[in-house]
Formats: sequence, C-alpha cells, structure tokens
Amino acid sequence: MVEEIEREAEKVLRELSQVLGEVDLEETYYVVEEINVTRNDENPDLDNEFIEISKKNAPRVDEEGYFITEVGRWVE
Amino acid sequence: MGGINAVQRTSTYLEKVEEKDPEINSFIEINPKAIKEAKQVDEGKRKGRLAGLVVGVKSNINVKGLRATCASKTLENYISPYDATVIERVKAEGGVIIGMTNMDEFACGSSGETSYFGETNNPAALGRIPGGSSSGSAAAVAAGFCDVALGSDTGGSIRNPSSHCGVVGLKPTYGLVPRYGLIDLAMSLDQIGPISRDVYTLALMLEVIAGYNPKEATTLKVSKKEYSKHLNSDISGYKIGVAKEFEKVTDPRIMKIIKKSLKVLESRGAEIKEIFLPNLEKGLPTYYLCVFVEFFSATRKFDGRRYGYRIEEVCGKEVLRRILLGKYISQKEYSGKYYKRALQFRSLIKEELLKALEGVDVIVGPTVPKLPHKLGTEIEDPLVMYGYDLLTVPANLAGIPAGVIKSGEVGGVPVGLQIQAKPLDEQKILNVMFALENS
Repeated sequence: MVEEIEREAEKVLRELSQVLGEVDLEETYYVVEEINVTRNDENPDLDNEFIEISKKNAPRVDEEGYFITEVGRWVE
Repeated sequence: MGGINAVQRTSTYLEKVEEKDPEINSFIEINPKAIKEAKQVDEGKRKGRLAGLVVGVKSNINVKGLRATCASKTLENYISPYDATVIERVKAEGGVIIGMTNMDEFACGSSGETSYFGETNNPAALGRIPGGSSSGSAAAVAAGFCDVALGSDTGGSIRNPSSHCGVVGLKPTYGLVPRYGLIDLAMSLDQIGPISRDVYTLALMLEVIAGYNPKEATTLKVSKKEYSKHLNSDISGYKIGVAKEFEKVTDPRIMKIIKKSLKVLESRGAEIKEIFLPNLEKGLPTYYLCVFVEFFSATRKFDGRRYGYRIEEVCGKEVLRRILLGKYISQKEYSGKYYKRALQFRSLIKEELLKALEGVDVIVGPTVPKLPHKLGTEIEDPLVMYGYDLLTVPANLAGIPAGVIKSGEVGGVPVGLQIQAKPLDEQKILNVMFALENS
C-alpha cells in the first residue's frame, strides 16, 4: 500500500498545486493575532487517576510502575 | 430542563441505541455510567443549563474513563486519563454523556466510511454516506439517539455531516472554544462545535463550551455570551451576501433548494447582496496542502511507546496517504513549492472572505457542492473525495464561524444551507438559522 500511495503522492501534489497559481503575499502561519502566551503560575494538581489510567494505556510497565519504552525499530 | 426525568430520558435513548444503532453504527462506545450520571441530575447533585440533556461525543475528544479512539486501530484501547475542557464544561452544567461517536479515522475523511469500527449509515437517507468526519455525531443526533453531540471541524467536519443528515451544526470562530483535550488533525484549523436537532439546543451547547481557557494558547479572551437567550428570528435589515461562484461549483439540484431558502430569508426582511469570491476554488488545494503538513506533525506522537500502536503500522489508507504526503512536503526539496505557497494562498482567501463580509452581515450558500454518494461506492481518486469540502474549507482557513441548517431535500436526501459570518458573530448565524427554523 505504501508504494501505491507514494506513486500517487506526486500526482496528488502536482494536481493540487496546479490549481494554485503564484501570489505575492505574506504567509499566514497561524492565527496568532490574539494568541495567549502567558498564564498564571500555579501549583500543579496531581490526579492519581490520570497516572493509573496512563499506566493502563502503556504497552509495557515494569513491576515498579515505570513505563518500559524501547528504541523504535525504525531508528535503529 | 425543569421537570424532566433525566434517568428516564437517558434510558429511553439507551434503549433506542441498542435497538437501532446496529443499523446506523453511530456509536463506538456507550458510557456505562450514563444512568448513574443521570441519577445525579435527578437527585439535584448535578445542576446547570444542560441538566438532563443527553450528549454524544466524537471519539477524538477526551472523556475521562472512556476510550478516545479517533476511530483508529492505533488508539483502539486508549482510555482517556482526563476530560477535555469542553467535557469539563458539559459535565459542570449537568449534561449526561451517553457515549463516544463514530468518525472518519483521525478525522481524515468527508464520508464517514474510513472508520476502523466500520462505516456509519445516514439515518436521514439510509444507504447513503452521512458525511464526515463527525459522521457518528451527526447520525446519532439525526437518528434521535441523543439530544446534542459534539463534533470537530477542520475543513467542514461538523457542517458536511450536518448537511447530509439534515440536522443543525456550527463551527465556531477559531479560538472561541478551547481545543484542550481534542486529538488534533490540523491544529491551526481544528475547532470543536455542537450538532443538534434544533437551533435553541445548538445555541445552548455553544454558550456552555465557549470561552477562554489558560491551558490553551489559542483560545480568545472574550466575554461569555448567552446565545440561547438572545436568539431572535427577526432578521429584517440583515444584509445577506451570496456569491455567483457558489453556483458554478454546485449541483444545480442543490442550488435550486438553496435559492428557495434565500427567498424565505428575503420574505423575512433580509436584503440579498451579491458578493465576489474569485478565489473560492483555490481554497481546497490550499487547505489540503496545509492539512497534510500539520497532520504529519500531529501524528508523530503515535509511535506506540506510551500508548496504542505505531500509526503507520495499523492505520487505514487515507490516514497513511496524508502522513506520507505531509512527510514529502516537509522534506527540504519541497519546501517553498507547496507549503509556503499554500500559506500565501491562505492569506489571500482569508483577506477575500473578510473583505466580502465587510459589506454584509452573513454569507449564505450551499454547504456541500454535491449530494452524498451511496455507501460502498468505489471512489479511487482522493481528489474526488476531497471535492466534498470545497465550500466548507474557506471558513477554516479564515478562522470565521459557520453554521448549517436543513434547507430542503433532493429526492429524499437532505440539503444543508451554510451561513458564514465575521469572527465572533455566531449570534447572527444562529439568528438566521432560527429565522429559517421558524419559517
């Protein structure tokens, strides 16, 4: 399936970009005009249930409750 | 909701879901605590504006203790460890969450067919697609499985299924509703919004979920509005913009229905004005080129280490296509050629829409340019499927609000009217919808 999609990819991109011509404008990266970048410092609220559920979601957890992660095959 | 027995109401909905949802497939998971939550409402332990209202939630919004699957095998067993801001607000106002609704996988779709949990049927036109990606939310509302549902809209995902299923839906102004707890498709475009059967409930849910949240950097610091209290069907004097360009790209059978609704609005005292949107058709490629890149970035956390499976190993074809396209565009040799140009066109479309809105109160037109296809129809070319989004993506690119209400039917298939307005002008959209509802 990956090869098939890769073959299609250039065609999709070519057709999409063909509809667009050229335009001389600044890019809109994000709706940043009203962005809120500050927040009050507060003590974090620790929800034990959050930790318990997150452990259940983890593919592997050791006896002490630590997540076991591994280096993915794709970066080895 | 005074006098309403929440347990009875919830039980009735649950029985209906059990009996009829196997045909519709609008829910992925039912909340086992729904009756308990309803009981708390009846006992007066949970009060508020939504007390006793039964709410469906799209499966990409976190509800603590329920699965947020994004309708993908990637997250099929992922249990939400916290509530999204919108869910905290719904719960605080006494809403009873009935369950998590079906959707296109990771919101990548406009038909409701790409879910790992199976396609959703259209209760208003059985055998046809319900639209997407909030397919389950719209279908559940249309089928009468809940009072109101939450969906998310990145390029039309609330409005498209609302149109196909004949219900009302609204995509709010970007930043009005916090996205905290929404699993993103494209973070610069995503917005959470309501879907319901009537405009009052839609307005009520919007006022509950809207408002600033310091946890979310893009929420707007605007004062809370009581949309439901200010609903007014008197739209005399409203200037309504209509673009010729809508007609060029839309099925004539749909346009005929839309024109009838425009006559209705005119008869209620609104003035129709012609507006120009010459770059309307450029919205679609602009949108998709942005989405591919943002979606690729958003999916890098699904590496199978802390939860779920590695996305590329288990996802469906459309999700994989978008990941790979995003990856290609993100590669050095492509930068400037596609993404930068898309961002420039995003500026152009935003400017064009805002300029068109300067002279009118709202822009009215069709929601989807074509009728929903029959379930099971083979659509090999992704660009044909993307075509469903042509008229809805501009609102996301510009960050403006847009609502949908049923305008009529073509051969028994609902057709939705889309109403767009200036940023934070949701009240005007709701008033136009209210006027149509009362006509």
